[in-house]
Amino acid sequence: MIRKLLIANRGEIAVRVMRTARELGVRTVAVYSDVDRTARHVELADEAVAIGPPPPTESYLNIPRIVEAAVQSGCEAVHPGYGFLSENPRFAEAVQAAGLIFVGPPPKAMRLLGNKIEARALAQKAGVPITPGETFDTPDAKKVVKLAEKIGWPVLIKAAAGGGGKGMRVVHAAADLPLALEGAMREAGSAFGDSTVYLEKYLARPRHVEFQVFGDAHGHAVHLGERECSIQRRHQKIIEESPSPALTPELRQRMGDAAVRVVKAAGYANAGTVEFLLDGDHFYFLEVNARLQVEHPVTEFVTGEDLVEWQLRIASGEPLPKRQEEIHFRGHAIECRIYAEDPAHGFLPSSGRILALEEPHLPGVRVDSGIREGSDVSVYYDPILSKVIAGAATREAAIRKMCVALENYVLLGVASPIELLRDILSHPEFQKGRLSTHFLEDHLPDWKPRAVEDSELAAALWAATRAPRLGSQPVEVAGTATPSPWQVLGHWKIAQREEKS
Amino acid sequence: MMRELVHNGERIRFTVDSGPQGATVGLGESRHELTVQEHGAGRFIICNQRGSFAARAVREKDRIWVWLAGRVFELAVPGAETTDHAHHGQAANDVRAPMPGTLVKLLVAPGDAVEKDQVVAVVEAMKMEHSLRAPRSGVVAGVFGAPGGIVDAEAVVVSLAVEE
Repeated sequence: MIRKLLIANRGEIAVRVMRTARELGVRTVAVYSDVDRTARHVELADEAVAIGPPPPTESYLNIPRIVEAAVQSGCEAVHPGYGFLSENPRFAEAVQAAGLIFVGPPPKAMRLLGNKIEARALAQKAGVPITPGETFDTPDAKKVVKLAEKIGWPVLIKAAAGGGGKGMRVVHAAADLPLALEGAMREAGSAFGDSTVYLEKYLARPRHVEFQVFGDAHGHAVHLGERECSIQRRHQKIIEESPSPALTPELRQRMGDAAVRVVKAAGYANAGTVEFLLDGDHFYFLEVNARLQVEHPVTEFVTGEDLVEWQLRIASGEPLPKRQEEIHFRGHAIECRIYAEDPAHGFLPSSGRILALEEPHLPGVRVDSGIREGSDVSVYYDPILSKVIAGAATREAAIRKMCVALENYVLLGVASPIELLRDILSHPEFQKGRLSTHFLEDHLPDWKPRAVEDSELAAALWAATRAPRLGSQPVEVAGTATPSPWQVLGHWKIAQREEKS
Repeated sequence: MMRELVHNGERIRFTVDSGPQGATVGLGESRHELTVQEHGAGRFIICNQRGSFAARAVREKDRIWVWLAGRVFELAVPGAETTDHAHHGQAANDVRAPMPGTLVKLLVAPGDAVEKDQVVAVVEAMKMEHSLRAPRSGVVAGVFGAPGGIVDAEAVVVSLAVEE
């Protein structure tokens, strides 16, 4: 097993990787930009190295600086997390060239799959269906309009190197294409350092279903079941679950087999995700994400496996921990992503200081968080703050648990989608499992928080008059949690008993 | 004493009469009796006729945040509400940056005629691009900043000429 690991990331994922590393006795090294000096991931690591100014290109995307930090701190391996350099084959190569282990797929497989155009060709060769699409060498708007007309409107412009909705645009008519093309290319260039884009048919109401796969250096590959990630905003997932309410055992097997065929054809090792669009019982290969996904915890719940542990074992040269027939699924898990953003105002990112934070703790609920009270949410990075994962025997019970968890999640100082998430979870269509990537537009368009009742407002106003002032000085970090009504009820019972005696 | 706070762009006038176990909040015509327990600074259990609810409140400068039984109230001390989102503003003459970020594109110049909802500038923050649109049709009076520059939240990026 690797003895010392550098985590080339920040936020909740850096924290999450460190937790497993610690459990396995692996020492951890964090990296941080100047604004992250006191961040939670820095605090939790055994060691931390400063890597530069806040802009990602000068810190978390700075390959030479990160490799240098890994070498100088005596690390044997580098875990890239998700985002940033996680799917950059040049980074994987630089890590390996320095004599270190890259915890991820071989750069060659990564390069092949990281380019969505080549990945589609590979899937097609492996006998996996793909959505209609067109590629082009020069982004000449007129020519691209012709290609779009060939596919049929609406079309999706996608970044070849992309992911996470960045560098992606839906175009409904020829007139909108030039600006969309330019914007997509600029966004792709700034996010991935590669502005290549291509066109894909835009499916009207698909479901987004993906399979967790793992390969090892010995040529074996397995899948760990699917995740349904249909609830999205701005082409980014906000709620994920496993299993998908749409899959029959037969469809699960067909899609799982297809996913394994794709990664085997690519000579893949370590963790990956094969994404599909599902339309009825027809599925289309979308792309492979050559990294650990944000939503991996739902798979961890239903399989009982620690995916970061699998990653570290495979990176250390061990074979896959389990064979396909040894992987079993149990219960149902849901994840909600908590972003610093305002769902009532077009999901605009919100920056600022976390003034109050109390994460929910209840049986079957896990919170993967990268913040604490007093953390600053800067404009430089992806605004994900934390993820809440709820698991139970049935989907219904998992939803119920999640609702309680979100209801007890105290987060003040930046906007968050917690109320929207609660409204989605309690929506009858969501509860029936009727999901699509257009769920929000279809069922909760122009969402606004429920109207405030006078009795609530009166209580809030009173509390506001008693709000302690926080200066510009750092906020107190720890504190006693807000007691739940149950705890308070307990106090009162004791007091009553005392009165009686 | 009449107090005033701003919620969702609306000024709310209310009174608070404190008693030994809580307070009575007067809001418009109605009076709300609250029984309150305080558990450390800004941490409360508030009981009203509906039940008992956990609450947490913090104030930073002129903004007050209250968490009450799963809901968040963002309140402002009157006079400070201008920092609220541009969407609420009446100022239909200004196009403002919705959040701090980099101005990646400025698509108009002073004197240009613009249509309502026309994209006039693009701001990037947290790796996301946001198109800023004209709030109405009109003529551009001024532009502020240059592509590549940093803009603050609520900074005016483009202003439209006041119509007679």
